[in-house]
Parts: sequence; structure tokens; C-alpha cells
Amino acid sequence: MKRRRIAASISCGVSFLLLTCGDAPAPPPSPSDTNIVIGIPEARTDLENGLDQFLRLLTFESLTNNGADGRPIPRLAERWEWENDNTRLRLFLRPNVFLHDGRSFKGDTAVAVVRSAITNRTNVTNFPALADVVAVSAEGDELVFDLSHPSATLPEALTVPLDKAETPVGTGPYRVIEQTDTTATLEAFDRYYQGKPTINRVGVRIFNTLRSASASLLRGELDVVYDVPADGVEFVRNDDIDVISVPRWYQHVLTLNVSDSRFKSPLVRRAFNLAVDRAAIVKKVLRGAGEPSGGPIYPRYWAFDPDVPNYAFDPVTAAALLDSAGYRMPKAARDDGAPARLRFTCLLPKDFTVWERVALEVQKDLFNIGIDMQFKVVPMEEFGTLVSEKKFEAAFIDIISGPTPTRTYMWWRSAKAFKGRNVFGYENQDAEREFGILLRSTNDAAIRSSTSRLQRIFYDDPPALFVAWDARARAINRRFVVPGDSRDPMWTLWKWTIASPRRIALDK
Amino acid sequence: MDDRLATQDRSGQMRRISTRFALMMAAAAVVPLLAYGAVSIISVGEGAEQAVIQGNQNVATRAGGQIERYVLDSIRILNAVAQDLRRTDLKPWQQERILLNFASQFGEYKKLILLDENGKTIASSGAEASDIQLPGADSVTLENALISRFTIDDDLLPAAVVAIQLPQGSKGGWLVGQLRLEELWRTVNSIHVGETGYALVITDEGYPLAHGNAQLRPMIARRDKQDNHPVFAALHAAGRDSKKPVSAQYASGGKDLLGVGVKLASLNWVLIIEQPTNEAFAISTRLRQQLIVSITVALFAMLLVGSLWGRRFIEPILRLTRGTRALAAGQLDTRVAIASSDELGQLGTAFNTMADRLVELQEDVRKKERHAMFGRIAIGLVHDLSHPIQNMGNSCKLILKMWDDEEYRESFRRTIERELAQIKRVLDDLRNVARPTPVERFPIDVNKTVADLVDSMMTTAANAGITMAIELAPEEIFIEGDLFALNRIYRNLITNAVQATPPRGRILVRTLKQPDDVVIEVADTGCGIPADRLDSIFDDFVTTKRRGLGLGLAISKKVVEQMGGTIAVTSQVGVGSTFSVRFPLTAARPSQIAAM
Repeated sequence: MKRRRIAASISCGVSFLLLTCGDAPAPPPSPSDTNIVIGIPEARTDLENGLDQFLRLLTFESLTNNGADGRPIPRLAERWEWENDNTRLRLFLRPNVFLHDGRSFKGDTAVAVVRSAITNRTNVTNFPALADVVAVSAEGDELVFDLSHPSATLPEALTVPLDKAETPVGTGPYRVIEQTDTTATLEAFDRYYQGKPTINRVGVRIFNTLRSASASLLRGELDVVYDVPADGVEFVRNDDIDVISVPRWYQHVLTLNVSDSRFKSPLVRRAFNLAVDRAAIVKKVLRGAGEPSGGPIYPRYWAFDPDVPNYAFDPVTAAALLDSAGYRMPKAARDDGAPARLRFTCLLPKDFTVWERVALEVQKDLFNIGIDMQFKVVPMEEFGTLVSEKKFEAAFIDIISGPTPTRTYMWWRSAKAFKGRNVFGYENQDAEREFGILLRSTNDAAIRSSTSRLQRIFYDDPPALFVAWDARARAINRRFVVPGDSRDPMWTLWKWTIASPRRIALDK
Repeated sequence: MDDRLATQDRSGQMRRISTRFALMMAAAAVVPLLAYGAVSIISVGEGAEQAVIQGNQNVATRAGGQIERYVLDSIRILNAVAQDLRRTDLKPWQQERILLNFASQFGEYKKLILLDENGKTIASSGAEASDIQLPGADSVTLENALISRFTIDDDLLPAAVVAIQLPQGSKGGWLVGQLRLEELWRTVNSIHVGETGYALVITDEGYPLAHGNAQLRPMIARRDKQDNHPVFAALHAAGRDSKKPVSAQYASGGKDLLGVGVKLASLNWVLIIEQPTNEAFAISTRLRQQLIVSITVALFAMLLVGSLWGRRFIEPILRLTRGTRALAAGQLDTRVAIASSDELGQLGTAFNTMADRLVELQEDVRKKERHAMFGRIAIGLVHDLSHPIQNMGNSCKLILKMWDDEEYRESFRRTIERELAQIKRVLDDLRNVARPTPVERFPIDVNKTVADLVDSMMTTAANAGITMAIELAPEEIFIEGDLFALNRIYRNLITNAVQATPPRGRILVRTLKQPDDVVIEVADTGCGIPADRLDSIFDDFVTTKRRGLGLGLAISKKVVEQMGGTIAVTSQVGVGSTFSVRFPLTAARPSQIAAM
């Protein structure tokens, strides 16, 4: 009897050990084993998506970055200080930052890289504060920017990627080792200053359609689909795939050639803004992945004034405004078109599905107040040319409008005063004045009040018809654990980790 | 030891009776219950399962109807638009406006275009003229519309091209729409059966169009053919026109599933609802389990009740049995307490009466035995003492006359001494019975003492006409004993043998050495001892002779036992008797041999 008890105890103990040993989780793969494949559907949804832009995201960095509320936050620069009555900005570079070619990012090397970026014409156009920089020098681990006059938005302007050198070399977590028209391979940069990336290799593939990209994702050939349109989100998401929404600083805008006499009157433009049911568009077309837009200033900008009224959906007032602007509804219809107060043609780039659908809803709403907008669909390249040459009456564009008024400034500051992107002919002296204050002021209170005033100016004299702020979605295989500390998960790709098998089971 | 065995025996019997009783009750009550339960388990389980299957089929039928209506309504809406467009007085911009409004209002139509009879686009709901192709040869006609095969579009939604021909009278042409059944997915996703049941829609070619299980939805993007799905295959086998739902149970993805399916005849689709069987049949499984548990509990309860009742019923009988055994064991004070007024109570009363009577009888028997014994003792004493006393009296009478005769005086002295010695022996025997004389123990040579004693009694045997022989063990044999007592024992045994053996009989005295003992046997060819008296032959005051106290063997036995030995007898009437005395050997040796 005693022997039987001992034997039973031993058996139980062995069984227990075997069971617990069997349940032990597999060790997580080491960084050297981890690869990821990202698919980018070429079914274009905006102008910015593309292989090159995506690669830049992973390979190049900037001195500063944009915080979610528009305030600049450190990146390659740890901190900065204003000197000499705000005409000198001293940046303290992070230590141990290296370029992919092994050079340390400091001193003359850093100066050369930064100088090439801040003197780039496109960057200067996008960030006017760069034009105020007269000199860049290095003092050890510090970069010193001397300005012609105070420019409060210089730290924000230093968010430009440092990729404009003759032979650009990045400091980012990855470097490209192979690239074709439709594919690219990146490998982890071991000396990345924030630590070696946990994912060793990144493969990027371009797909013709979302369907093909999603099918690859669902088959397990991809780990990420970079851009999932709103229609597909609920059907892509499942227990193995997470879809993370990413608010963007872009908004859908029906731009108007204000040089055209029909659009000169603010009344007309206000009527346009009152005619559109933005909430319905966000719900119906964007599937809730976005929010109605009240104007050109990003609503999450830290100085944004929520008390300034937004455009409500008010077609009656819109019609009344058009009447008072002299655009009355004709009594008789024409043979070639519906009776309309106003007719014009809107440029639309080809194959931009979401833009087209938003535009069609806007067309319908405008039609309801007697505005007949017809589309002219052209290839993207032609679209860009026509717009830049101002050969349009209206154009439907996805415009980057945040997170700071610098973007607003870039698009809507007087073309006479500033060679930005204002090809639309918009002019407003009051706005000009406020832009000046915003560019120069370093005082938060002054910036807030100036921003508030600018909002009201744009409400009374809207530069265009602002429809909705956009959002995108990234479909990511749940085997990756994505840190939640960033606006866009792609920004933290380098520190994604592999979920343990047990973690996946719990998540299910 | 005997009590423990008796208790065990009693409890074993009790178990057997109680067990039989319990089993009898169980058989009478539970067997029908078991039979009913088995039938119930089977029929209830099957019935519940059938109800589940029927329920799922109803869900499938309703959901299938809902899906069919959704698709057909979408097509009917297009028909309604076509009706609007057939109005000949509509200008192109009006037609376009209709298309725009319709496309905006009904999200199912991604794009609508109006083609003239030459295929040129007249109006479009899109921003640009579209290149939607008319449905081809593989299209089907439904609600007056041509519909292409449904496929999965780039947005991963089921889509098809629907075209309605406008009559020539309205300038002809086609109204063509890209129908995208986004709501189909939502409808399928919303179909739930239980917690884990879901639905899926498969085209007649076997391609999945919608799947309610997000984990399995990738098959849509992969275009995994499902034509070998058991339900799909069963529906196909049932024939195109069959409207009856089918069901099947099968394993898929490591799970056992119940699948029911219906045909959506107008669309040539199949709607299948799948539910894991462990959920689908949970109720019937639970019912079965409950029935099994209930029946098992009832069975054990019946067994318990039967066992308890049986014990209660049997207990009086067992008491009587115990009482009877105790009586048989001599515990005449045993009585049973059976407090019931039935036959068992009467039996208990009778038992107690019998026990009382037994006690009385035993007392009577004892009295009689005492009388008999006293009588025997008296007679023995009279016999053993009267002769010496008589002889002494006669001699005393003669001595008065013959006092001068010196020879007679010597004879008188010897007679008186002899008879007094005899009287003394009788009195010694009596005293030995009451208080045995302690024995001395010295190493004794058995062969020598036996030989000496036999030798001294040869004359006695010869005078009785009996041949007495002696066989001694060849080895020296020593025991620890009292020489005097041993001689008395041997003399007693030989004397009894002489008295029991008729003339020309034989007496054999022998010694046998065994590993640890020595056996001294006295065997005769006498009359033998009846078997019923053998057990008491060594008792006090028991004799087979007509006279005597009957103390010889009793005293011999006591003395033998005092010396650590045993005495036994075997006898056969008419053949003879053998008395065997056994003593343990000793390694001790006498310092000088004790001599008679």
C-alpha cells in the first residue's frame, strides 16, 4: 500500500512537470530573426502616398517633430533655446546620433546636412520661417541658427526631413538596401540612437489594388497594409488583423480660383461652405474616419479657439447669401443643363476614389442650392500642372492643413507677399496681419488670440470650401505589438515587438 | 478470536441479506425507471437535436429570404430608376441628376450610367464617364435585369454589374449600374445563432461572397472554393429546384459543426449557417446529462433506502441468530429484545422463554450430575474404604483371641499397616484432586524408570493372565520430572490396562523419542472405551469401572500437565486402548541417576 502511494506521488509529480513544461511559452524570436512586409495599395487615395515617401519616413529624420497639438517636440535635437531677442536659436543635438554611413551627426557634418535641407526651395515654400535663417553653425554638439528677424515658427520648420543633401544619408532606424519601382528592402540601422530596431528587415511592396494587398495580408504574405480605405476597415479587421485609425493633418477641400469673378465675393464662398452637409459626408463616404472641417486651421492645434463658430449645414442661408451676392435662381431651365445660379467646372484627379465620392456629395449639396458643378477628371500629373498654372475654376484637393497655422499660411497667405502654394488667388489683409503675428510671436497668449482672430477671418471670408479632415487606417497583423505612444504606428515601426503566442491567445 | 470471527461472520451475513434486499427493491423499482430513463434520454436528446436543426433551418430560411429580398430590392430600385428614365421628356442633365441622386441615396450602386442604343454614355452618376461593361454571356436575368456574376471587387465587397434595357420607345439604351452589396456583408455578419453560430453565402460556383466568421473571412479574399462544403454539396445534390433546407454534421477547422443550408434560388446562391455542435446541442446534451444524473441518483437512493430498510427488517432475525449462537456457546443468560408485535416479536418472546427453560433444565442436569457424582464418590469411597476397614475390623476381632500368637500379632500388624496404607492412598487421591501436590523436577532417565516400573508389575500382569511387553527407544531419553509422580502415572496406566484386558490379552509399554519430545505409550488389547466417554475419561470422578472414585486418570492428567506434558487416549471398543503420555525432552542430565 505504501509503495503504491509513493508510486502514485511520483507519477503525479512527473505528470505535473510534463504539463507545465508543455505549457511553457516558446521564446520570443530574437531581433535578428524578425522581418516585416508592408504592402502599399497603389489605388491612390491621396497625393502623398507612394513608395518614396514611405521610405523617407523610415530612413530620414528631422531636427524636431510635430506634437499632436502642433507644438514642436524634440527629435534629433534634444532641446533648444532662444537667444539674442529671439534672433538666434540654439539647438542641442542628441548625443550618439550617427548617419547611416557611420559619421557622427554633429559639428560640420550636421551643419552641412541641415543647411541642404533648410535651403531647399520646396522646404522653404512649405516652411517660410526657413527663409529667415541667415546662418547655421555648429558649436560642438550644438547647432546655432541665426535669423534675420525673430521667427517663432522656426522650431516647427525644422521638422523638415534632412534628405536634401546631394547624396542624402539618413539617421533613421532603417536604411534602404534595395529598391525597384514596386519593391524595396530596408535593414535595421544598428547604431540608431534610440536603440537597434527590434525588426531587422522591412520589405515594402506596391500593390495595384487594395483587394490584392488585403488578400495578401489575409493570406499571411503581408504583415501590414499601409492604407485601408474606410469602406474596407470593418471587413479587414479580424482576430488576426488589427486596424488602427490614424488621424491626418489633411482635409478635403474644394478650392476655388478666387481670381475668377464668380468666386471673388466672400458671400459666395460662405454660401458654398453653408451648403454642404459635412456630417453626412463624413458618415456616408468616410465611414466616420474623419471629422467635419470648419476652416483651414487644424482643430487640435493647441491655440485653436473652439468658441469660434463653424459652418453649419444651412442650405437656406446659403441660398440667401447667393441671392444677396447676385446669383439668383433662374426661372427657366436651359436645355443643356439644370437651372443654376452658378456653373463651374471642378478639376478632379483620376483614380482617386475617395476624393471622387466626396466631391460627388459636395456636387449634390451644391446643386441643391442651385450651383451646378461639373467635373473634369484628368490624370494626376495633368491635374497638378493645371492647378499650379492656375488653369482651373475649381479643384478638389486633399490639402495638408495642420497641425499648425504654418500650413494654413503656406496655402492661404497672399501670393503677392509670399511665394507659397497659394495658386488660388485668395487675398485677405486681415489674415495677412494675423499671419505676421503668428510667424513672429513667441508669446502663447498672443498666439492664441491671433489664431482665434484668424479663425474668425476665415469664417467670414473662407478661402475655399473646407469639407472634412481625413483619417487613414493601417491594417497590422496582430502578431506585432504596436506601441500606443504615437499618432501613427508607422512612426514607431522600429520598436514594434513580436507578441508572444500566449498574448495572442489572450487578445482573441 | 471466536467473538471477532463471529462478528465478521454476522456482518457478512447481514450484508448478504441487506444486499439482496436492496437489490430486490432496486430491481423492482429502478429497472423500470432505468428503462424509462434510457428511452427518455434517447428520445429527448434526438428530439432536442431535431428542434435545434429545425430552428437553425428556420433561421437560414428567414435570413435567406432577407438576403434575396435585399438583392432583389436593389435590382427593383434600379428598375424604378429605369422607369423614371424612360420618360421621354427628360433632358440629359435631368437624367444625370436622377442618376446622381439615386447613387447618392442608394449606396449599393457605386456607379450608374445611362447608355444610348449605341452604347454611348448619356449620363453618369460618377465624376467622369465610366467604362462599365454590359453583363456578358454568363449573366442571368432577374427582375427584368441582366446581372453579371457576383465577384469580389477591389474593396473586398461582393459586386456585380446590373443592366436594364430601356425600351426602344424611350430611345432605347441601357441603364447600367455597379451593384455593390455592402449591406450583404452586414446582414450576414448580423446573423448569429447562439453565441458562436454564423452564416456564410456561397455562389453557385462555390466562391464565398460573405462570411459571418471574421476568422474565416480571408477565404473570400483568397477566393477559396467551397464546392466541397458538405452542406453546399448536399444542396447541389438535392437539385436546382429543391427548396428544402438541408443539414449536415461535419468537422471543420478542428471543430464539430452543425451546418444547415438553403438555396437562394433566384440568385443561385447558398446560405449556410454553421454552429459548433457543442453549442447547438448543448441543451439536449444537458438534458441527457440531467436525466442520467437523476436516474443515477434515484438508483443510489433506492439502493440506500433498500439497504437501510433491509437492515431494519433483518435486524430482529439477526438478533435471534446471535442469541441462538450465544446460547449454543453456553451463554444461557442471553436474551433478545425484539420490540415488535409481529411474528418476529413473537419469535423473540419464544426464544427468551426457551432460554429461561434451558437455564432451568441445565440447573436440573447439574443437580442430577452432582447427585450422580456424589453418589459415585460415595460408592467409590465405600468400596475403597470398606474393604480395608472390614479387614482391619476382622483382624481386630481376631487379635483379641490370638493375642498370644506372636505370628498372628505380626500378621495383624502387617494387615493393619497395609489397610491403613490403602486408606491413606484413597485419602491422598482425594486430597490431590482438591489440592495437587507440587512436583519436583529433576532430569529422569525415561527408559530406566519405565523399565523398572514395568518390571515391578510383571507379576501383577502375569497373575491376570496377561502378557506385558516393553519396547524402549534405543536412545537415552531424559525429561524433567518427579520420579515418584511418574511411577504413579505409569502404575496407574498399567493397572488400568491390566484391569481392562481379559486373560490371554496383551499389554505393550513403549517409549518413543521424537525431535523435541518423548512419548510413553501403554497399549492394551482390552475392552476399549466407548467413544462417547473418551472426552471425559480424564475428568474427576469418571470411571468405566463398576467401582472406584474415578480419580486415577484425572490425577495422572494433572500431574502430567504439572510436568509440562500431555496425556491422550485412543480407543476402540472390543479392540483395546492406547494411552500416550508426552513430555518435552531435556538436555539436562542428572548428577546421579535417581533410583527407585
